[in-house]
Amino acid sequence: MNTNTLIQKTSCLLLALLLTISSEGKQASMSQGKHKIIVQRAANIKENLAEVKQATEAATQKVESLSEQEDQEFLRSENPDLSQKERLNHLAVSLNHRADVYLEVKNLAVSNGDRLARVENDLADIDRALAKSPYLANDPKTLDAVNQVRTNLARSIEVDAKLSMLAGKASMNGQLSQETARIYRLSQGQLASAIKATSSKDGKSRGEAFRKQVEELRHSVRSRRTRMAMIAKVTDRSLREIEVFAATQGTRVIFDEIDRSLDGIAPDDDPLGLKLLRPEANDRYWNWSQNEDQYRTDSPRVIQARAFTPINERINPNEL
Amino acid sequence: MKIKYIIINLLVLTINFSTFADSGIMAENARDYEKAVDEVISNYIHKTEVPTIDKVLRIQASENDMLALARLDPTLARTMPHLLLANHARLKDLRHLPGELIVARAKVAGIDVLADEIGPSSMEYSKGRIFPRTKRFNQPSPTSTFPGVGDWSGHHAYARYCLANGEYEEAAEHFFKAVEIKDCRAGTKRKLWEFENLISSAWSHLLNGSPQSAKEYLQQSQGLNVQAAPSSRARYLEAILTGRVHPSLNISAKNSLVLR
Repeated sequence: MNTNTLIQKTSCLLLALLLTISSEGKQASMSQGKHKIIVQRAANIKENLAEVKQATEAATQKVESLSEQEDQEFLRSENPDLSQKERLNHLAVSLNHRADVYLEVKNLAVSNGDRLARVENDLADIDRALAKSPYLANDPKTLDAVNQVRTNLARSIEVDAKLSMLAGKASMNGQLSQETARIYRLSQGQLASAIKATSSKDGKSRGEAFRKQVEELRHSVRSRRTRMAMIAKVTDRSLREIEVFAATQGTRVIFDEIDRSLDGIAPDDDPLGLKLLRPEANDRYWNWSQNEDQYRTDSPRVIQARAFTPINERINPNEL
Repeated sequence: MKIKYIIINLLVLTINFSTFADSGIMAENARDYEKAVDEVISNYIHKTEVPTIDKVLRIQASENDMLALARLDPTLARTMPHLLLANHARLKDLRHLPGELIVARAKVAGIDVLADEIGPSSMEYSKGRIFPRTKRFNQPSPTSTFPGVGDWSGHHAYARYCLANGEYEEAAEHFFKAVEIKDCRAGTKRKLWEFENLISSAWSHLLNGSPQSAKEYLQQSQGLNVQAAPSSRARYLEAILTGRVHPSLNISAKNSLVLR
């Protein structure tokens, strides 16, 4: 009895489950889901491209302003009326502006590249959704079905031509019912409209045309992404060059300063600074030492009686 | 008790599943279409009724609707039934239509009922009473040349040509004329030639709008002592005309039949 109840319960559960799955399947069709994906991805693409445009415009303005400032500073660095230190300072500021220009462009290229990569992914999603769409798919099975329908249509149109003639004669003779004539005319109209709605000039299906369009967009996005990556690389290279220039120029300035500071000790006409340093002055020290040695050998050393102090005299024995 | 519940459960599941599986508009149209074709065939076989232009237009309207649906949604094309009018009807004469629909259905089910099973091997018959000798011949190719009197081989060749061109009445007549071998009243040794020509003639009659004649030729063929198993097209014809379905017919062939 228990086993029977269990079987009954399982059966009911299975039925309920099947009904639920079936009714859920009816609520949201596959095509609606794909349509949502396409619309969502299209919105993402629009947003990303708008961001690319906005960021590029902002970066262009900033780069223009930085370039202007850089030019001004560079001109000042070439002004012979200014001291070298001032000119070097202007050159350093100019270099900073140049580095900022490069950094700005590099960041723009990288962020635009990321955004375009997202656009490309969205386009790939759209392409996949189109490939699985019941109306626009171009997988071999669907294409085969489309071709079969095309073949059937060609034959059916021939049959329709013959039947239309027969129907015309029958209608004239009053052998055709009004209802059938209406149904047939409607079916002819529906089929003609369906053919019109699904035909394209080059004879290919709409799905193929859409996917071709998506593919072209993907190519153009990819080429822009590649361009962005190239801009980023060129900018990076220039930035490194300017960094190397700044570093080498800075080192040169430091060396010049070192040389200038050495002028006080060792000017060019006395490269080793002999005048100031007077190495010959060392002689007296040598002489002094020799004199001292002589003095030591002339008077012998007297050892005093209290030369050695016992330890117990140096410490407090109570503190041991 | 347990088995009973399992069977009920399986039945309910099957019904439920098939209900949801066939819920599409294409499936509904396909059902109506099949029903309309069934009606035309059934009326023809049982009442010798030729379809009116009304009926034919309704069938064509169904095909138009299904094609329009398939064109708009290629996934539906996979569930579209084989279109019999578009692919098989000649529409030379509305009397031919039921027969053409039957032939088309058989073809879709995998039986080409218009192709005889005489085969490439030669047939033998005995000629001469005093000095009997064995004669051999092969199946002739179709030709448009009209046969002379008593040219049984020529009748067969011309009949095949007529059948291929939709001239069913002439085909029926010439297939029948090909049965009798002029040189030998006893006919071929295996009687396959006679049997297949009679069956071809019966099919031609069926296509020409005379199921009664088809039945007569079928009965005549059954009276022959053929040294070979009856061809599937002969069994299919028997099933169509008499409702007796031979177990050797495959499931798709059985499903394509319109039984009483």
